[in-house]
Amino acid sequence: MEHFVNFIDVSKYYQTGSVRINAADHMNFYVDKGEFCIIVGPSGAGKTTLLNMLGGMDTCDEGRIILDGQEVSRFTEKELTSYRRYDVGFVFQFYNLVQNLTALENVELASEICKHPLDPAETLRSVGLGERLNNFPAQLSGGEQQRVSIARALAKNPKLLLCDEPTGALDYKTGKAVLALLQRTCRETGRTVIVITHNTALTAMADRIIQVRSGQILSNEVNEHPVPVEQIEW
Amino acid sequence: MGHAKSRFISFFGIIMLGVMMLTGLMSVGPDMRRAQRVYFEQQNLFDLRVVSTLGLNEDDIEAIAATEGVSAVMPVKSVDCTATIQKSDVLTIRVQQLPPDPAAETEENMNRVVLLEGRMPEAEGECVVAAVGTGSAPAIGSVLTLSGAEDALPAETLTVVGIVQDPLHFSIDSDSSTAGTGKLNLVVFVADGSFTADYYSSCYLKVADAAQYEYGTDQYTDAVETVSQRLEEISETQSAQRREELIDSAAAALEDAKEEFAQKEAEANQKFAEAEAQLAEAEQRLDAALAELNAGEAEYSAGQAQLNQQKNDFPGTMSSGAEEILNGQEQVLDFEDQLQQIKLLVNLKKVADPMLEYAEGILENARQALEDVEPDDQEYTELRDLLARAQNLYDNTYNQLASYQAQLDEGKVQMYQQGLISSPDLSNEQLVTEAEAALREMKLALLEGQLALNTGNATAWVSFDQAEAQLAAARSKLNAGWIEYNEGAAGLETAKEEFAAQKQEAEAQLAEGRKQINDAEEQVAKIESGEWYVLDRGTVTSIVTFEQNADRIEAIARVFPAFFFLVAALVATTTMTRMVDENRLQMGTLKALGYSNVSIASKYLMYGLTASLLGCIVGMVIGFVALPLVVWNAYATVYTLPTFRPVFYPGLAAAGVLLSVAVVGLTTLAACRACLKEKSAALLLPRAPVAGKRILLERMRFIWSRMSFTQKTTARNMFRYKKRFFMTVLGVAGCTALLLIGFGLQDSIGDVLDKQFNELNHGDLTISLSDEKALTMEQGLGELLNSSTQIEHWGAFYTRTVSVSNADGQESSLTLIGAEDPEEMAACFTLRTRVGQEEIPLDDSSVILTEKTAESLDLDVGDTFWVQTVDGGRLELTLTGITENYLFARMFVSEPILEQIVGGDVAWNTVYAATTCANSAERTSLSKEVMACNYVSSTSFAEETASIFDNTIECINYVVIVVIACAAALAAVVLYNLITVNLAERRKELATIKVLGFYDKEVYRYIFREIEMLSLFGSMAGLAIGLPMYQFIIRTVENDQMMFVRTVEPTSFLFSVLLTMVFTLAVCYGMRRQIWGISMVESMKAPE
Repeated sequence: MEHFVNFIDVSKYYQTGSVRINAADHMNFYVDKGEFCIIVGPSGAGKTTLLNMLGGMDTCDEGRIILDGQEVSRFTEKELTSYRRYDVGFVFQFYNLVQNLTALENVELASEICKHPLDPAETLRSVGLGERLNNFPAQLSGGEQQRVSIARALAKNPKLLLCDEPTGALDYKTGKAVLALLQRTCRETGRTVIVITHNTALTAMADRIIQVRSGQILSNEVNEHPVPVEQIEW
Repeated sequence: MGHAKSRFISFFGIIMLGVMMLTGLMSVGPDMRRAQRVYFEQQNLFDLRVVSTLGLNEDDIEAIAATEGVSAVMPVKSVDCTATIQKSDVLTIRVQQLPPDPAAETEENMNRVVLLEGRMPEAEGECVVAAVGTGSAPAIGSVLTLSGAEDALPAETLTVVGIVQDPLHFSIDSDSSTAGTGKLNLVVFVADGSFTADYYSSCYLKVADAAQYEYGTDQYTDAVETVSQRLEEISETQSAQRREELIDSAAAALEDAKEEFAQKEAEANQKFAEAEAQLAEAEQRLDAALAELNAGEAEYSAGQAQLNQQKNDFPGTMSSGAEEILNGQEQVLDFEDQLQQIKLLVNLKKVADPMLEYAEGILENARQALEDVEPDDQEYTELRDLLARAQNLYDNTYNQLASYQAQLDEGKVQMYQQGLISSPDLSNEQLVTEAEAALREMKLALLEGQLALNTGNATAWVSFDQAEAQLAAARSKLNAGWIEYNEGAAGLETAKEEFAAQKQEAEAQLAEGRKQINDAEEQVAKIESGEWYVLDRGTVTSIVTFEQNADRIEAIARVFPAFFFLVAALVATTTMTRMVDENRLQMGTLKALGYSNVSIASKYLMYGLTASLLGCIVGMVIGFVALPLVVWNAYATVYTLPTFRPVFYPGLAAAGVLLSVAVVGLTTLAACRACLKEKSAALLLPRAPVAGKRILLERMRFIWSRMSFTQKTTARNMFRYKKRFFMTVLGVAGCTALLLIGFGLQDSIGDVLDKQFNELNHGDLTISLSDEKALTMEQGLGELLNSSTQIEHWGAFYTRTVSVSNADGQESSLTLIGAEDPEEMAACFTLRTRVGQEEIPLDDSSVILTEKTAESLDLDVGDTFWVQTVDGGRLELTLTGITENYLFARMFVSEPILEQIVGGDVAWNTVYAATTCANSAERTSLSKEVMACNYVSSTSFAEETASIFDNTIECINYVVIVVIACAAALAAVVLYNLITVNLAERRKELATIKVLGFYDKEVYRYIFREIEMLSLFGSMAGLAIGLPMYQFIIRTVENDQMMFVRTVEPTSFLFSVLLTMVFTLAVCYGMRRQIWGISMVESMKAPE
């Protein structure tokens, strides 16, 4: 069976003057459908480059990126936008909520443009923010803001949920809660979730762990016994 | 880097615009006035001008020169006349004599002409020309053939040797003339000494005290006014003297003329009578000749007929003659036969008679014998037979003889009857003799007859020939007669025609004579009403319109710069606040490192000031140089002032710099202060984003719930940043307001013409009369106006410039108008209120003021005010109406009130007429006809007045374009600033929505919809603030004689908004790349 996400020999270079940096150096990995995958590596290992390419925000210079049978690496600018719009849900490290919109409106901002969106209010309720629909981001805590961000990603009903250091700006406890939400979402909806983090402790909760270093994939292994996030300490 | 650049551009741009508007608009007016002032100085323009209806003589000039305060005088001889160049149209020109040295740098040499081409005139018959109005000057070498200047100027033709500029006509505004069409085409300057007239037509003078002041200042006006009054004072005495001098000669001339005319008229009438008598006689003669000819003709015809008859008859006569002769011959022959017979018979008888006697004897014997003889005897028988036979014979012979005799007798009777013989009882011998004689006679007669016949024939032919010759002679005589007659008739016809022509000519001469007498009378009349006019520069059209235009520009300059600086302040504030916000961390760090607030702020101050100073410099370059040149470029189509150049005004420049420094400095300090007030620790933390807020609109559930999600977002974003909102709204409002003012000015000034000349005034022809007689005199204006097909209706009016004053003593000068016929008043002037358009009724108590005057004197209907009467007194009037009016200040009064003002009977001195003239050619010809009438001093068509405004409108249009450009620049700077600030602040938001999968178009709309909406708000606000600004400008631009239409057309509102939106969309469109350029990677970054 085809893998849901498949990176085949993907490379990305950045030319700075005469120096060429290999941000992605012949990356090969795959993720299967419905998996909770954690991509882990230190700062500057190429995680974000990988995420950008997978999320359709950036293109690769070599190799093929395949998601659910579509060759993303061959998409045009416009197709990439459509791909982001319909197939991918993003959860940002700094939530990236529109300050001038309420929680509900922030979710609506995304659901407005999708083909089969989930009900925004319902989605917010499902992430535990039923009481805060009409609050502005400034009136919400960091964890709540991140949950709005997740709700916004989920409401789009994407094939893939991409999370970039979702706990990076959160305190320990809140971070855990957010991860728990993501894990629960994966389990309950069967949606493929890819979380990028530098925190190796989190790998225990993943179905699949991909290690990245210096633009290369170090390992891609399946965790047969993922533990709930509540049991992980870091 | 990008931020810094756009921020710099924002600062630079708005300060540049502000300074440009400030220095540019504020310097155009002074530049224009300076150009005029310098020009006046260079050409040594007069301060005052004295004109007299009588002309000025040397005494007058001396008196003027001797007047206190007059530093120099320049008497000028000039004459208005008409001229043609080859076969061109007739030009109305003013020929003016130049001073002896036209280039002299003396104070006496005023209004020096500027030589543009060729050379100055040296000899008599040479001239230089200056075009007046919109026409062009004739080329050098053209020859002007003058007419109507004979009295003053001996030269009949003038050769153009140069083209000059007349400082009194430096615009394309037209000037009036007393000759030709009444509209001056050329001013022609001739060398000194060309004029023979012994008087001056005007005297220009310089006022000693005025030289130190600028034209237009109160000091100047006062200085000139003082001298003007002094001149008015001597005016009466001088006029009186001048009149004395003129009146005698004129009266004498008139007397002579009248006498001469009477004589000529009598002579002419006599000649007419004679000629008519001669003609009648000739006609009579001709008629007689005709009758004679006709008789001759008849006679001739009769002769001809007779001759023909005779000719026809002639052969008959001849043959009957010949026949007669033949008969005669036959007769003669018959007669000869008869005579022969007679002779024979006679001879026979002569012979037979004896025989008969013998036979008788024998017979007797025989009978006797017989008797002697027995009857039975044979012999007897024989004898008896013989006897019987003899008896028989005898009887026969006897009978024969008897018949002969009978024949003879018969012949005798016949012949006697024929007159051939003398008696019927002639003896036979006699008969023979006579018959022979008769025969001879007959033969003779026959011969004679023959002869006569022959002779007769010959004679007849001769007489025929004679008759024919006679007839031919008669014919030719007749023909000659006819020819003569025809000639005579033709001659008569010619004579008649000649006579008619001569009579016409003579009548024309008489009419001319009559006109001359009228002219002379008019002259005498003029002498009687002789007056001096002391005129200042305000009577020169070019100067007046120039001042008005400078006023207009200054009015605009009063509003716009302030506005631009207000917007500049807002732009500077938003930009600087944003800059300070972005540099929080740096500021915090610096503060933490121990830098003082002042030194931290000074960095931003320096930045802001550098940008604004640069803006100032560029703005000033454009403002002091380019803008005046651009605006002047528009006015240069109307005014030829070679002295115009952009001038640097240090005061204005300093004001511009100070204002920009103040605006930028204060806003920078304010922004820094807000930041530096915070503790450095707080500064080190990113600034909390401006929290989302509910807006007022959300309270209005029914609207909010109906809005789409994106509309809601837009609405909320728009009101999020107050300062930015105001900056944009105000900036865009400024743009719309500028446009509204620009379009409004166009509307107002454009509509003035239309309303004034189409809706309010209906008499397009104004004729000024020097005497009321013009209307009533024979062959005068009245007849012309009544008979002309081009005049629809006309009326006699009284006009006079009077001054009116209100209770506060405020004075205003206006034209008093009263009509002879109230209906004509209503036909020529629509009197109605501007608001409501209600008709103002006319009755005996009507006193109606034009709106602008009523406004400036603060008068309402029912208020009382005073008017200066003709005799100098004051008359109290009650205002009964205020009429809509745009050009000229006027007061319409009823005849009874007019009589009170005039102080008695009104002498109608003006005609307003509505004409059907469709083009300038028709107007020119009508104007000429009217000017040819006596006592007509000038004519003018509304169209000519209108054309002055057309020029103004052209300039305004140009200024409007400049205004639109400025508006566009303002909108661009403000929107650019708004967009860059917005983009800078919302980069992450935009990157996020890009990551969320918004298409480019959606991202574009997401951000620009707000800007468009803000623009729309700004536009609306612009209409709201533009309207009062426009009204302020309009009121400033108006003067006593002129009010503008104070309403703006709906389309102008629409265009202002539309154009603003077009600018907005254009700026947005230009900025769209900046949005697309935002990288999605931004979304990964930590908040600033």
